[in-house]
Amino acid sequence: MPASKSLRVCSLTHKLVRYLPSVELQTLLEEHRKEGTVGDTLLVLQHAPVFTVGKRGSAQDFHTDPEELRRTGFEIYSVPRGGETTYHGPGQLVAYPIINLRQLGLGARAFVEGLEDAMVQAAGCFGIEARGRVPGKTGVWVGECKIGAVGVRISHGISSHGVALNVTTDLSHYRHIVPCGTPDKEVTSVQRELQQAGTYVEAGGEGGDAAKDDALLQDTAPNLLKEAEQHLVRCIAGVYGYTDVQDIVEEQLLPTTAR
Amino acid sequence: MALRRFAVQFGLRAQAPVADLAASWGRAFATVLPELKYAKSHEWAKPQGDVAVVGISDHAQGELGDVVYVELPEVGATVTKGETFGVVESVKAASDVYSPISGEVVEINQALVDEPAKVNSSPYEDRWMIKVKLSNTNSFSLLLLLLLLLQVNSSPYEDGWMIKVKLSNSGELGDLLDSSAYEAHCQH
Repeated sequence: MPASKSLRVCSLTHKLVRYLPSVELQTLLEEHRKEGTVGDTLLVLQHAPVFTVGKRGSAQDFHTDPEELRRTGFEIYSVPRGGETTYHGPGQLVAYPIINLRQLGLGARAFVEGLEDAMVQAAGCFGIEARGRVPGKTGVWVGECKIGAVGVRISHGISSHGVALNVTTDLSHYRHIVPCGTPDKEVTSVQRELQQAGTYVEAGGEGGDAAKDDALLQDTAPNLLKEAEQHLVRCIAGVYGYTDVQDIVEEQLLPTTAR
Repeated sequence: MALRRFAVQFGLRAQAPVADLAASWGRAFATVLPELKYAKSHEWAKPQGDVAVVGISDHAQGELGDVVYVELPEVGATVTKGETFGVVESVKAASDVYSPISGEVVEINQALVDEPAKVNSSPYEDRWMIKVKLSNTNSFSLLLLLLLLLQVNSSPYEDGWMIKVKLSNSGELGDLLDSSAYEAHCQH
């Protein structure tokens, strides 16, 4: 009989999460997970507009001067995750699994393939035919366009950072960078694919002023995002064999003795 | 499996059980070298006097996938047993690697930083010893296989070392796993 595996899921998609606090939260969760004071946890959120530069990224990944981007309301951070430079923002579903890969018996490749599979399955729930596990091109693709990105960190067997699935993301912001180090590839989203297929019915705008969080949230077709979130969480839990999925609120993330 | 391909190339296709034996012997011997010590986190240490050569095991590189980036400490840096000494990136995953022993880094393998794929690369194919047009004689085939196995035992650890550390506490080597305990650990 397979042992029961539990996953705590904390949804923060009702607000825009600034990038730095999310990294601090992940660091705390990673520490607690390593010590065994919390179980495997999945954070699901949307970020305020930000460009993040991974271990292999650099200033050369930017087409627009980073200082000008900061002036117009984008944040830019270097982070110790795999991958190059990418964009996070409203309408993009971000999922950070803070899980003990050693306990699951997963190496880096198996873990990342699971994340790709989950995003492919989630896209499939919308009738979108996507593929992952493409050698040398980690991520999830619809044709030659990237719909989902991966960038993780594994430390002492605990994962952090994770994936980003474009649902109703303002794709125009990607023009400021070489996304994920692939200069000749385009990006796409669930919304764009459904529009192209003629099956998109929910009204939703294309993101507004980067500085106004509330306006951005209203413009990002919340129903489509919520539906994508439900699919992605279920698919992530499924690919790793979690039998018990608990929805928790932010206050339950850390042990009560933690600051 | 490189060993099977190599065996088949030399006319062992008609002797499938022999090629299978080659592959299973390859799996049994090629991944773990007996003269090394291993950490449970899949790094290895090879003592050379008061210096230890450190790398990651064949099991580790297989689990990582194709390595595209290697970050190593500077010469002169201190490393501590069980603590991170570097990062290896594969499939958009940045994985920490941990030092199995403590000491001072005296040399780093710049070749890995310049060509990260060397962490994965199987040198089996360009380390063959002889090319022989085989007869159907089983005993001759077995001799060739034995020669091949001796060859594959010397890689991929030799080129794949990451750092050399002047040990601050050589007693730590005793805490590491020997090759048979490490093999058992990999099969958990």
